[in-house]
Amino acid sequence: MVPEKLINTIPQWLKEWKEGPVVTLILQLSRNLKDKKFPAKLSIGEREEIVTMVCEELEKTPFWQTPLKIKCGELTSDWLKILFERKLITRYILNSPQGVCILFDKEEKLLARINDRDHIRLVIRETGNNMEQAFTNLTASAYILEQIFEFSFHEQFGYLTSSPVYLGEGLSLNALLHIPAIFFTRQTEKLFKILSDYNILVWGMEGEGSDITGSMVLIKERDLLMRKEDSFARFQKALGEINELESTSRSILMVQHQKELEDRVLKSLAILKSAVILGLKEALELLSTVKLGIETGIIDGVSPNFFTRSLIFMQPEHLRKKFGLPQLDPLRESELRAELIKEALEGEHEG
Amino acid sequence: MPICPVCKLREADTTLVEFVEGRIKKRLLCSICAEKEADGVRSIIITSTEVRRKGKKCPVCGTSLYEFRRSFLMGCPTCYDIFRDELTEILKKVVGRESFLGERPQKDSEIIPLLQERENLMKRLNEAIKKEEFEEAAKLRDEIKKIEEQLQWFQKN
Ligand SMILES: [Zn+2]
Ligand SMILES: [Zn+2]
Repeated sequence: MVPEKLINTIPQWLKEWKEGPVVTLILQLSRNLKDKKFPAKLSIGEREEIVTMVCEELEKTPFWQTPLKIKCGELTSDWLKILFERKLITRYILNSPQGVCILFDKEEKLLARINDRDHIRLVIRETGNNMEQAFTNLTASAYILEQIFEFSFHEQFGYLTSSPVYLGEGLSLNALLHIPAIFFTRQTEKLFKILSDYNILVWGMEGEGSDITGSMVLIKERDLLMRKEDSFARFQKALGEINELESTSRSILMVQHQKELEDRVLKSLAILKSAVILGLKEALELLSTVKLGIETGIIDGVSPNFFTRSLIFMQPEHLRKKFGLPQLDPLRESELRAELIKEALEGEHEG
Repeated sequence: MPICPVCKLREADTTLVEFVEGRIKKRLLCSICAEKEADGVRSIIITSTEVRRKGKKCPVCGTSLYEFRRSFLMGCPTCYDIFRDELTEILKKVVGRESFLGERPQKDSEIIPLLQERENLMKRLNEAIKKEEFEEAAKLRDEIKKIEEQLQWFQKN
């Protein structure tokens, strides 16, 4: 069962983000139990045995006093889509939820996926200004897991994961970025240079294969076999350089293109305030521009939560659930999206 | 593919041809059992064409080299030993490293109470902030900082 109130809350890892290019850090730790085949090669029964055992052990640790626990195989596809839109499950689980279980805290900052591509995937999400804390939490979690389970560990490759891209620490470092000024001033080549220097992959915010919309990107460090302290330090350095590039780009915008910037921001705001129909991509582009307008002081008086609110609640399945739409109706969905964003701009239903 | 009748575990993808008392006896086994059961001059091991075409295969989960190359996914821990050479080649080419530079974290019990303590303090801190007891909050923050320093010490050692 998915708690009904989930569809009315903004996950804390998004809500706490106020401004700046790093929206959220996403750290993932993958582990597999010793001498067991990876989940894809297990029967559903074998997967369920692992779920029972791992949940029981995890719930004893200091991190997981009262986690929300959801068995994905028992859900209907609409609820699976809600979990997917909230980034609690991956596309892979969305398509094959049998024998998969997720545990998470009510802030949705700490998440364990059992029988994703690996037996245990621990995901820690923190807003960009809590970087150090995110890493301390990750290290602490790695220690705790090590105390309670026996994992597959290889003398040459380190922790064994179903995909060799996580070999070594079983670590994956990701970040969700909002970098409108880099895109407006066409500094993307500089951005790609930084990313390739640090061996970082980039996609749209929906991850692998998705288009970049609304100046939001998801980046992923691909530095396997390194010590996690070194990977993290490198990733932090890369984020620092991207931060720098975004703020230089903002200065360029403010000084050399002030009128164009104002025009774009105010037009975007006017469209959001009066639109009757809004598609997902269109909405995202406009929201991003308005957010830049707020951060650069061009507009004020807009509810500070409007961006993150809209981002989560304007997604198709969230809209359908909120308004009780029986079947996907793209036109009605776009109408409701326009309505919802208007409300968010005015700061209604704040909380 | 049928399961090997000897180990009842792996796929039977290998034919063992034996000469018993002047007669030919064929048995379908897994590659590992076939090796074990083979008796020198009096038997021949025939690998199936499928195995030859798809390359070697993990005896535990059945993942073939062909599948691994296509999906870049391993099926079980044993795969890493079976495809070790191939993977090492890929890693050298792609990341310029072939083995893990870190170490396995030690099991130690000293760190657990620290983590528990930190969790408690964090809860109290949140309470204090909610109740706007800022002096208390500042104290708690200092304590959390101390614990985090200790945790970092563990991390480095
Ligand atoms: Zn056998
Ligand atoms: Zn295998």
